[in-house]
Amino acid sequence: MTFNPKMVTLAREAAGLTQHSLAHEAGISQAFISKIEHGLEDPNDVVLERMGAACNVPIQFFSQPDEVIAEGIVDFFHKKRLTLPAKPLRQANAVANMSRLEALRLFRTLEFPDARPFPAFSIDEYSPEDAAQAARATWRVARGPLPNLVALIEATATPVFVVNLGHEKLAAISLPGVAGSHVIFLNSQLPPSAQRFALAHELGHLTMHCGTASEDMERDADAFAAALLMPADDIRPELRGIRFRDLGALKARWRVSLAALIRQSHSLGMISDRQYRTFNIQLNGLPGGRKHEPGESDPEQPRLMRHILEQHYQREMGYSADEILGAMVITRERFNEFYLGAPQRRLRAVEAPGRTHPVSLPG
Amino acid sequence: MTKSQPAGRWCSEAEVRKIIGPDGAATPIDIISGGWQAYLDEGRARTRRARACIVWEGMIERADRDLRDSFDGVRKVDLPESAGYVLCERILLRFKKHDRAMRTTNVRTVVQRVLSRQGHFDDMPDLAHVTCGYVLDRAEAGIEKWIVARPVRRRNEWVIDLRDLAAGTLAPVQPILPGMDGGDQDAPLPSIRRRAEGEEGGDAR
Repeated sequence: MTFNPKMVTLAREAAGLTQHSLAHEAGISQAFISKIEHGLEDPNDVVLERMGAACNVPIQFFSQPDEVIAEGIVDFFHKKRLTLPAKPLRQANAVANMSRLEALRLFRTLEFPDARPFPAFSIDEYSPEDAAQAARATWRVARGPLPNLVALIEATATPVFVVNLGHEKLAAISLPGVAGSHVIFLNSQLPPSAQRFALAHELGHLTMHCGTASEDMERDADAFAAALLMPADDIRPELRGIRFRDLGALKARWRVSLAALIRQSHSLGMISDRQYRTFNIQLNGLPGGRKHEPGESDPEQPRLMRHILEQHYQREMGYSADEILGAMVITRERFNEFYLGAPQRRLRAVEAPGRTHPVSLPG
Repeated sequence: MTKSQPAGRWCSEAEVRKIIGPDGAATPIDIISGGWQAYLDEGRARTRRARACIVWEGMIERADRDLRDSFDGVRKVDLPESAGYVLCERILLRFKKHDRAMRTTNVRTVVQRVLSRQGHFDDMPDLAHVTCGYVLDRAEAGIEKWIVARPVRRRNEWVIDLRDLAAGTLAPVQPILPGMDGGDQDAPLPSIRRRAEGEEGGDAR
């Protein structure tokens, strides 16, 4: 197979390594790494082996012909704070890209005959609120609190990953794909109610913004998420005359954060501006503040990838563990972390030491 | 004389949507609009009767004439102080005026209280009650909404906008049975099948 230099960049960024630190880990010079990534040098097997070990990918990974999704405005959707640093974002994008490729390698030979349709209601034709109601109608979801959203999305054969995205200011990433093969990533550092809202936000992007970008797209996705999880007609009677102490019961019923309930109450005109401020002050005054609200429900767990691996590849096709690793082009360590729920290492950037250890370049 | 069981028979929004259907929804809209037009034609100045009463009589007159043409097996049932229409031997439909909260507005007589809590009388079919009617705009100058609702006491279990139904607009519905679809059960994972030879391909699935 032909060497693909883009895969080196992808593996390096997913491992949180700079060119400098990868060169150090692989025992080669930073200049050589740079030339490899630009396609000016073809590394030999020894160098590939070292880079693979440093980036935690098998050597075959560097020969994969897959296309890496670029970082265009509609190639990735993010739910993040504006103050999120660029470095963890780049690393999370690379991790998302790698996982998407792994999923596509598995899905390539499969089809899902009774998968539910993925909603597609363009923002050009639907308001976020109407798109959210149309999405509920597409899935035949009854009025009231939305059931397990991860399960609803996975019923469309769209994989959802709950992984450590490396920074608490990054809530979720979604990658729109051709013919509906989207992939969504949620940050496991967030509490379950925030994960649920972030997932609804990403669903909003994939439903409304595929192929289009606008200035208001983040606000639209938030409006979609609020309308999907708390439809105005359904929740309005329960917000009438609401007091702060009532919010806990509503949180348990609707499975959204207290902050989201307060915001929705205000946007529906059920509380005044003054009450909105007071509620937020009370929320900030709770022991855990806004970041660790009380009364979290159990997190919604993805099941699709594990189901495909165990049910189809292992039981029906008789794949051994090593054959699955080979098909996905993944190391056992990463497989255990991402697909079998082994304790994850926190993604972090590794700083390079002060000097490198160049080796003689292969002829 | 009366049975006062509170719930009557269960009847879901999905089932009533199916009974009326996008094709049939135009008929109640025409009946209600015709009733309102009858009121406008008669004019309040010439009568001391209540507006809702004039509209109701206009609706009943048109329902007697038009309902049978649009739905199979329609029969009229005379109720104390009212009238209803049985559709598909499944629902008892009464034409009513609704307030802006989409609740029926009545003088709270004994009969109306029994009907509003889905109770029924001895000579009346034991079916789920639904109301079909109109909501006026704020100025009360015209009809703003044409709806079908299932009232239980002073609360609507669900409301169907007839114009949306006629237009085939997608809308979330209450499930056929309580707890179905929208319950705590997770949506099932899709079944998996190996793609046929030659269909293998990158992103498309």
